[in-house]
Amino acid sequence: MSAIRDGVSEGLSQISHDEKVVVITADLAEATRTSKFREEYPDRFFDVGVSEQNMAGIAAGLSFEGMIPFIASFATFSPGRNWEQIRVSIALSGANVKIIGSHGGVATGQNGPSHQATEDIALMRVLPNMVVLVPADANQTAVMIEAAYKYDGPVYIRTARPKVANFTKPFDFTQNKSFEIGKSYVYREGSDITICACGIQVWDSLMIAEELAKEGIECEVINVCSIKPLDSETIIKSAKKTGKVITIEDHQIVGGMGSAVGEILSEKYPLLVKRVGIKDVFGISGKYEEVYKKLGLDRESLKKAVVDWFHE
Amino acid sequence: MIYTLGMKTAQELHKLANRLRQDVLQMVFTAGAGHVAGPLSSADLFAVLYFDEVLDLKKDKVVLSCGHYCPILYAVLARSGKLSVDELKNFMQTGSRLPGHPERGLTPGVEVSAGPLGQGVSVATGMALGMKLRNGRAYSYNSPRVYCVLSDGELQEGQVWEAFNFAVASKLDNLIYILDRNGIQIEHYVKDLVKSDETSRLEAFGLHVLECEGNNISNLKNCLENAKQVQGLPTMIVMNTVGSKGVSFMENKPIWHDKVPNSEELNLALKELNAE
Repeated sequence: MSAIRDGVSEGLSQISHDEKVVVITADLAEATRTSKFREEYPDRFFDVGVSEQNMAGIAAGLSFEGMIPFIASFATFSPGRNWEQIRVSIALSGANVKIIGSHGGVATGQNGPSHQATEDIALMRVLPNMVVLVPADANQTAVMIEAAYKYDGPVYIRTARPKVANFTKPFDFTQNKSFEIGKSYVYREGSDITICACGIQVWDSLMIAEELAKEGIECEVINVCSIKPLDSETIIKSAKKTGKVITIEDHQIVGGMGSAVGEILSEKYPLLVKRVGIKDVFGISGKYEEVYKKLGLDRESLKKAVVDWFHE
Repeated sequence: MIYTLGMKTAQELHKLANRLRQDVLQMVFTAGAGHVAGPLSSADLFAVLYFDEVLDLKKDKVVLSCGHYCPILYAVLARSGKLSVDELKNFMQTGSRLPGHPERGLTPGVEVSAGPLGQGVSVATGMALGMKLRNGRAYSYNSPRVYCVLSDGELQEGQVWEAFNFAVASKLDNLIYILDRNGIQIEHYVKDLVKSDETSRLEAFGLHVLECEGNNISNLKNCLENAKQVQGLPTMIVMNTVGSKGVSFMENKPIWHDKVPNSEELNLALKELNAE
């Protein structure tokens, strides 16, 4: 068990040998798991204090001088508070800045809705030139940080707070192929219904699939970890196979991964798509498992949603 | 006519600045849109930045954060040979290299995409930090520097204060901010909306503040030279200027922030700028 955000330390360790890599936070080093980098490379670590808009601009400037900056804060603040700075100083400018948005989703828990990022995927995927990645576990976070480092251009990586299963292979992510930006991965094959999931919900979907298999429903589970660019080929291939698609995310169903999947299918292979996630409400303050239960993201509710949609 | 770089007298630079002012008005007239007061008030500064020897353009960077001033930037880039003078008539034309607000990567000599006020100030600060990382943190008179031009309206954006704080905390003495204090913004005189003194606020943030007459070439040159001697802190040059400087009927009037001259006004203005 590890938190998705824990993979940030590991990921940065893999690339920190490169002197061009710099890390910036807005007074959230510990929470974003960038503090290990701070200990190892204090000369390349910068805390701008509580100023996320400035953080985005500083990173752009550093990138223009040849550095590869990673900025880290809570996803509600970055992007969010500094969306416009990301839009112009980073995306429009083609700045090679990697944005780590921590505490994604209502899984953030007790800090409440002001700190629970439920719109960040929408905010980032709507920007031209922005790559949007959502790791399913700590190992995948590390892999994605390495991929972001190698990629020339702005990247958004969404991490999360609670401890969950760490199940993907480190740096050997599926069938010995390393992670590729733009690819989604089928973790479980099935012919009855396609579950597209991202983040914490990927493992939950696999657990649900296990149970449903015993009840005679074979689920295909896809980790839609690259939301932009989206792997339409893999998703359409699965949709053609199962004829039923359901998407699950800890994010608004308006504008998130589910919307992205729906958009592509409606254009290329129209069929009914059910989006499961936060239903256009704000989250609530509480322990994450209880918040999930209240908002329909606990495993029971998800399983029911899949079964209902299968029978729809 | 392209002007050669190199030491020029204050007289020559003043004439050059007026030529740039003519370019700005011509550009805005042709496009039927664009900003006037700021590009004109800062023309002397840009003449000095690009044609005097106080900067070393081989290694220093000029960042225009108040991006709406871009006509003066395009004019000075053309007159110093980075663009062709002929290209200035393409300002704001669809698909040209001279967009209404500057974009990095689109125009040679443009370091930062700007327009939304305050953003360029942070970016310039990050560039200065990057230079320190590459060249060493210690002060050196010959260090490459970032010169960041911002406007007094722009000081109303909270982001710039975030940047100033970081620049001071990071001891970026290779960073010189230059505030074009012409006292006007789109629909107001700045003093109608801002009730506290800029200079004392800037000093309170820890910047090394220098004040100068921004439309006096000799004064400007001295001030820039003084800024280069400052160690351990970023400098803020508060440059007092007159909005739309150089054209008598436009000077110090908020309406000329972004009004397009008609052909009669243009001709009068061009004439005045020739005479000086």
